Amino acid sequence: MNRNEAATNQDIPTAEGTGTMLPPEILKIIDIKKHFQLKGGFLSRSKGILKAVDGVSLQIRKGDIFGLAGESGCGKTTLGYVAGGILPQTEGTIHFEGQPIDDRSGKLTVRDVQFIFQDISGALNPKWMIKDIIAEPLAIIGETAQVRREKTERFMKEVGLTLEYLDAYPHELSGGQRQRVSIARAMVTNPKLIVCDEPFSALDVSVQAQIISLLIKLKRQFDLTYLIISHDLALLQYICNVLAVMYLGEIVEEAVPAEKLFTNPLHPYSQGLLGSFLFADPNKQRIDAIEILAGEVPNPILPPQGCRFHPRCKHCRDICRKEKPVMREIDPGHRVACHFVQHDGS
Amino acid sequence: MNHAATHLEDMKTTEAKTVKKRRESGVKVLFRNPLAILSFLYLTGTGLMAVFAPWVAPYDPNYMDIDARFTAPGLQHWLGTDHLGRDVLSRMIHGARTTMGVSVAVVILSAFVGTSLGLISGFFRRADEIIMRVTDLLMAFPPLVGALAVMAFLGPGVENIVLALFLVMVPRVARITRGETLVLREMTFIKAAQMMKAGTGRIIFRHILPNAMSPLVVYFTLLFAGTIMAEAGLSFLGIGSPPEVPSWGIVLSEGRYYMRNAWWLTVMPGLAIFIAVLSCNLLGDGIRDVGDPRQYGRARK
Repeated sequence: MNRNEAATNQDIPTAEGTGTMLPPEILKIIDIKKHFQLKGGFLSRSKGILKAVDGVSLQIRKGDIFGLAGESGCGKTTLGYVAGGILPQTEGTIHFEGQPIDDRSGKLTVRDVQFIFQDISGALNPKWMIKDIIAEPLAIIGETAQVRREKTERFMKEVGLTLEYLDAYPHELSGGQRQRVSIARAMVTNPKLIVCDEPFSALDVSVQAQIISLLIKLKRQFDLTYLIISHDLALLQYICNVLAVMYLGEIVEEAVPAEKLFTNPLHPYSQGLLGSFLFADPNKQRIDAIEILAGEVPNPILPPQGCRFHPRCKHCRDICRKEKPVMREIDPGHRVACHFVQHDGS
Repeated sequence: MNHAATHLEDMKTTEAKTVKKRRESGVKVLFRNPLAILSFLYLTGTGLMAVFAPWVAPYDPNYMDIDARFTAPGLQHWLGTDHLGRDVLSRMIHGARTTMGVSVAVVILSAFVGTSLGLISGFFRRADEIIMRVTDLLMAFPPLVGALAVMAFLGPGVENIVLALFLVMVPRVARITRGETLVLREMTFIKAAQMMKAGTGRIIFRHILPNAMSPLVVYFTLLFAGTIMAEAGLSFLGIGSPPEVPSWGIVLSEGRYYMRNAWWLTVMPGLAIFIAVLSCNLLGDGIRDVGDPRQYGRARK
């Protein structure tokens, strides 16, 4: 699928006018909703519906490093699982390589999507040796023992683990090494999309840097596509070419290239997020000038009417309380859902 | 960067070497524990005696030498004779056949059935409702009372003891397995396997079962101990194995009338039961340490 076909779809505005051929879409999700029924106690009725993801559209192109940012509880992990075909969506459609996948989660295989988890130690079976852990996706798709061994050894080297670790158990490895094992396991089937759910947050800063360089190296080497879910804007700024900011189950701002969002955040929430975040350069920002986002994230079971961000927004006016803003493209590749952002970016 | 990379490489290789050195086989870990060795020796010794009872036992267990009634332990009769002049040692060696045989059968049966039921009910919600209600029903009786009731219904007999104790033990095994399964299925590596579209069989047998196994094996050793006690208890109460089939419980039971004059009639089988049960517990402790790969490196310290 080329850029023109994608651009004809009105649901998702694309980076118009860039004049270059865009790489093919790997994943396109259109107006995805994921609602959870909250069950009450014994014999009682449903307590309500948790709208974890409420009408999200996005597309990931081949070679993208798509960053999904947001506070805890905003639904970014749920969105990642739905996008990866693990959780069936409540509404909306998901296209993988241009073909819609049904609600059935069994349609995507390890050759299509793989996952990397935040829970580094928990993601590896403690009773298995490293070689079996890395080879598991290959075993699931029925590769022969020879192929499994060759690929396991190759990818262990690729992620920077020596072959002495083949017979090690996960508890004998450090946190960084365990994450390398997870990465090797995710890469071993050469998947088209890798969903990384907070892949760095459980690691030391120095190890984070190693893992990030590793992910970037592997992306170049194997032409991979990542969806990286994280709350750490500094990391996302460093690695992502597309960035989406999520708030209460909705995407409020999306920028291609990601740098646009950092130089010119349009949505008040993105501004708040960036403002509450310390840059390494003290000239860029002084600690006494930080504007902290006021208030708490509202209860997602009873989200606010109108713009979901309005109770915390300093620019809030009547229209924000009544009408839900739609995503608008403010400048090529930069979309935002806010009533007041003008094309000049004010 | 380059320097750092090579340094990192160095660190990795040295670390890897220590990984290799640290690794030991589980058997080695088990046998560094002296109590576990003793327990193992006692239980295998008893087991071998039971298997080869006709060749090992010095006398026929049912041969009555009326002239030699109540002989105290000595060279002729190592553990003395009972009120009918039967050799206590021979009776106990043959009794081990019944006692150990029943226990092994009960443990194997209830381990197999109970673990399967537990895995099914921990993994499939529908089945869980049914299986757990049945186990509730079976567990409503205290263990020995439940076994007594079944025995009363079936009548004495070795097969009936096995069946009665199986019915008592199986819900307990199922419960524990279910609990382990419920905990494990929420772990990230199970989710990871599900996300890799691993089949249910693969998840149950390759992921959940190996991780549930170490607490289960420990429980099986306790179960073995419990079954030895329960069999002895049933036989003692007179509704276990029939009198012509000696078992530790029978020997104990017959000796209780003469406790004041012939202490060996009760002390010897009592001691055998006591040490067997203790050995099971100690061996269970040893196995628990082996079942956990995290212990391989630590045990040396």
